Amino acid sequence: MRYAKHIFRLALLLIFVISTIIIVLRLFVPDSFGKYGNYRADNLKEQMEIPMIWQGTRNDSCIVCHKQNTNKKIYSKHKNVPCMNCHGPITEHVSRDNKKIAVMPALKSWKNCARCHQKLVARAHVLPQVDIVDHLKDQGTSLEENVCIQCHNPHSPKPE
Amino acid sequence: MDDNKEIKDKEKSMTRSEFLAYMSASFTFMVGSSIFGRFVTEAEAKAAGKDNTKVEKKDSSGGSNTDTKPKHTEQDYDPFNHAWIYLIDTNKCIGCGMCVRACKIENKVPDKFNRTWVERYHILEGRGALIDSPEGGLNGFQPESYSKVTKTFFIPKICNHCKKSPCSQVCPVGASYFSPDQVQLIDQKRCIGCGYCIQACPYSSRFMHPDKHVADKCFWCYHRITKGYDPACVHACPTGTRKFGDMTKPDDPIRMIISTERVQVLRPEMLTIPQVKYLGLDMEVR
Repeated sequence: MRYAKHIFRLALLLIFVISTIIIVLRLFVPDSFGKYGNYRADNLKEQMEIPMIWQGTRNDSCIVCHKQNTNKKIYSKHKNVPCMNCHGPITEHVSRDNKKIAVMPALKSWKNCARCHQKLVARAHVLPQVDIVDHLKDQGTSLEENVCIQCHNPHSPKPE
Repeated sequence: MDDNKEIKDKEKSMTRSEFLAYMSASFTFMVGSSIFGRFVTEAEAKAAGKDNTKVEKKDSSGGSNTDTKPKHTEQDYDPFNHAWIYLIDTNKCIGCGMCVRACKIENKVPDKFNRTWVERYHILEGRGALIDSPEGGLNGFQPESYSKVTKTFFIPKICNHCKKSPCSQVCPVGASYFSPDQVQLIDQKRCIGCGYCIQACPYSSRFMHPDKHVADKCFWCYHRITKGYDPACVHACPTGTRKFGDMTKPDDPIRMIISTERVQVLRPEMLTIPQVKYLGLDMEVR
């Protein structure tokens, strides 16, 4: 025993080092780390709690107050276009308890119509497309900001 | 003198060994208490019936609550019961860029960066392809004419949410991970902004957020799909190019398409097993 002091010292040092490592890991690794895998499991909950901005299903939110236009759109050729593609996000217009808070922003520019209906080679040919400059020349008008919606109603562009 | 010195040495050695003994004893006590404490809290949580996988109710969804009922709610969401899948039917894409705009509004993506984007391919006669994507297709596409173009088409692109992803393998802190419901997520609180994952991604779908200085990419709108809604890009698509489904549901229409039709993935030679499947992909697309 008398000549085995150095072994005890070494054992003490080892215990000290291992315990420091365990304490440091306990302090700096988050609690939920490693619950499902090599990541923080609480992050799943944090990601879920981000609020939605682009809200609502295709037509069901809008029909509550705007029956006329929504009913028109449902049976028109634009039935697959969500309302929010031309109008602003619904969270800027209606509060959480169904009260109007601001005017709904609407994109009335010809550029928004040209996103889908500008004639492009890459587009599927079943989609109605026009070369806007030629089309306006035929109609005898000039290119203004809201030139498209003067003739075409975006809620029912071509009734059949 | 000699005696004094011996005594002093003896005292010194005694004190040191005592000090070491005290230190080790106290450390072992602390470690033991901490481990024991952890067991106790876990047992208490089990006894109290707490289940951390289920999320407490929080009314974070804005807008009206008159929508059609979503498929499931946030409270009863269990990540182990879902396996999300994304399908892109490239034959239907008209390049309107509404998906890019919706993503920008929903996720507050900074300018000059895109989580999803649309590319236009011009396949040339025996000379490869010309690819353009002005602002990621945010404002649509302008007509362009090249000579000797045989075919042109649009390809929407997005993070592929690979099962064996290079990006999460290189992450040094475990911030980038593949969640149990098969979504590749980033823990942005844990990310240190080293940028390894941005270099590792073979699809270049990651970018460094200019304000937060962390990696950022498409999360398939995880806050939407856990509440039962589609991602914003799928919701905004007017032609049905982008589709979103669940592989665990037997009657899911997207699962039916993927299990019966011939689907492809981008860069299959990378062996990353992407969860974004493409219908009608061309050879030149990569």
